[in-house]
Amino acid sequence: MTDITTPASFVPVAYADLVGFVNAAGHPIARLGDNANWLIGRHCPPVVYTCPPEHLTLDAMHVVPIAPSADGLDYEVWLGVLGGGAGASMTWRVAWSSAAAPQPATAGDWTTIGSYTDTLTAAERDWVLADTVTIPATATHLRIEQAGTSGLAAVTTILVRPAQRAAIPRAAPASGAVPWDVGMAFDGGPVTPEHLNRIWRTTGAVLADRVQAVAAWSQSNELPLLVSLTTAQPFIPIARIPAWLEGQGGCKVTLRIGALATAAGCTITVGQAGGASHTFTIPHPVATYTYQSAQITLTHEAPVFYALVGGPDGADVAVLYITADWRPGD
Amino acid sequence: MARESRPVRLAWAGTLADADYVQGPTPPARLEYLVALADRVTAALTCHAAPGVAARLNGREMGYPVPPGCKALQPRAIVAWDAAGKTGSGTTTAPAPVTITAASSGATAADVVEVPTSDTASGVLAWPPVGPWALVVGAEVWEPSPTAAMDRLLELTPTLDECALEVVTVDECVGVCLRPIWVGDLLEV
Repeated sequence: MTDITTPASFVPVAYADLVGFVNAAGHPIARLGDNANWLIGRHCPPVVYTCPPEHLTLDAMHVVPIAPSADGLDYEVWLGVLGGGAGASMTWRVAWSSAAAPQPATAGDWTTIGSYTDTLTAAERDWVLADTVTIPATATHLRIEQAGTSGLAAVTTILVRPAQRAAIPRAAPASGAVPWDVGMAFDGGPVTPEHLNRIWRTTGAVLADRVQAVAAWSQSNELPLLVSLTTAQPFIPIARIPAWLEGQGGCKVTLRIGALATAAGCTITVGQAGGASHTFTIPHPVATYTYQSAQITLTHEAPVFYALVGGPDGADVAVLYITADWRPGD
Repeated sequence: MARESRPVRLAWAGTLADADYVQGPTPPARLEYLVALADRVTAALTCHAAPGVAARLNGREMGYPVPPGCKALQPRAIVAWDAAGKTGSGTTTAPAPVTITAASSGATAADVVEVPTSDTASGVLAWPPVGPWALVVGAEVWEPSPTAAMDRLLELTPTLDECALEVVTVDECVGVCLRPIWVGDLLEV
């Protein structure tokens, strides 16, 4: 079967056009169907969006959580990079893992799927589409590995989003979105429940399938900034993050953390200022990064998230990431 | 998403007095349902969270997602202070405004938007940001021909093609998100 061409643009339907005779082949039913196809092919909110500290190194590994589409989509990996000296020659490799607790430097935990190479001058900032990669539905984490041959550099932004598709397959994918097929509508033909149900169902299925990044703080595992706790300062805030979810007050977001601690009793509390929170306890003794997640309900559409690290005197906590993401419908 | 489980209603409620209705082999769906369906598809177009990030944002250049139908971005930034009242860049004692530029915003490209932070203290960019903090919100002012560095929205040209990536540069804050401002009527895009 040949694929269905995705409309280049979304074309809104005027309410006036819904009054009177509604022809299956013409405006507005077919237009609504085309718009549903547009969503399948071109709805591409970021699933990962973070700005790590500008920590200049030769090598580094950034690990971030990901909740990819059930359809095994192609994703664009955009990177902001910063050069730290003349002639910094770098390669950034993209890899995914489906392991429950993949360690940044454990090669067996990762499958490499793409790369980008660049040479940077001192203080040069580039914003580039590093690669377009296929991420399976089973992936739990992505790794951006910086491997330098000379000089210093830093990854300053990581953005991952579904790639635009000029054509979509006719077969119904795992997400439950069913494309509107041009053969469904002909001039003078009937408008059936299938016409309407398909548009209705596809709209919800596409949205629910594409998890959206809401808030993030992350850093590489290479000489990470440590949170050092003392008796005088047993709790230290490490991030406050504004976000905006238009009209979604009362929705649920998933909080995710990756961290390791040098002592027992260390915690990370993540929540909405003035709202709900969740406290993650970091296992110890564990010499590896641990990953956890929990859902909270937001009180309104304009949250400010906070993250607070706590623990006993003398403990150090290395936080790999703190993120919040949202699945529309939750 | 409460509509997800809403039953499909196809009961015929038109009037046969309208000559148009009899042109099709079967009656059209009810207007009420069609409006709900159109609303649902249109709402999906604008279903985009504006993601926020935390970092030492000091001249940070990054691409920011701009959903379809978005005509402007409103800065929302976190500023923090230390006990000594040091500034964000550490070079002056005057309050440091959050500054944001977007590559295609303003009368000329990359006009600076400045969001005032405070008239009592100065920002700090150290990590971790242990001191007091505040959320500062850019003025909801639409100004296509702005004066230099005024507090306003980042103006954009709306499209219905795809989710764009606008290159923005953020300075003097420790967290930021850019709230999308939608066009009043998508039909006008």
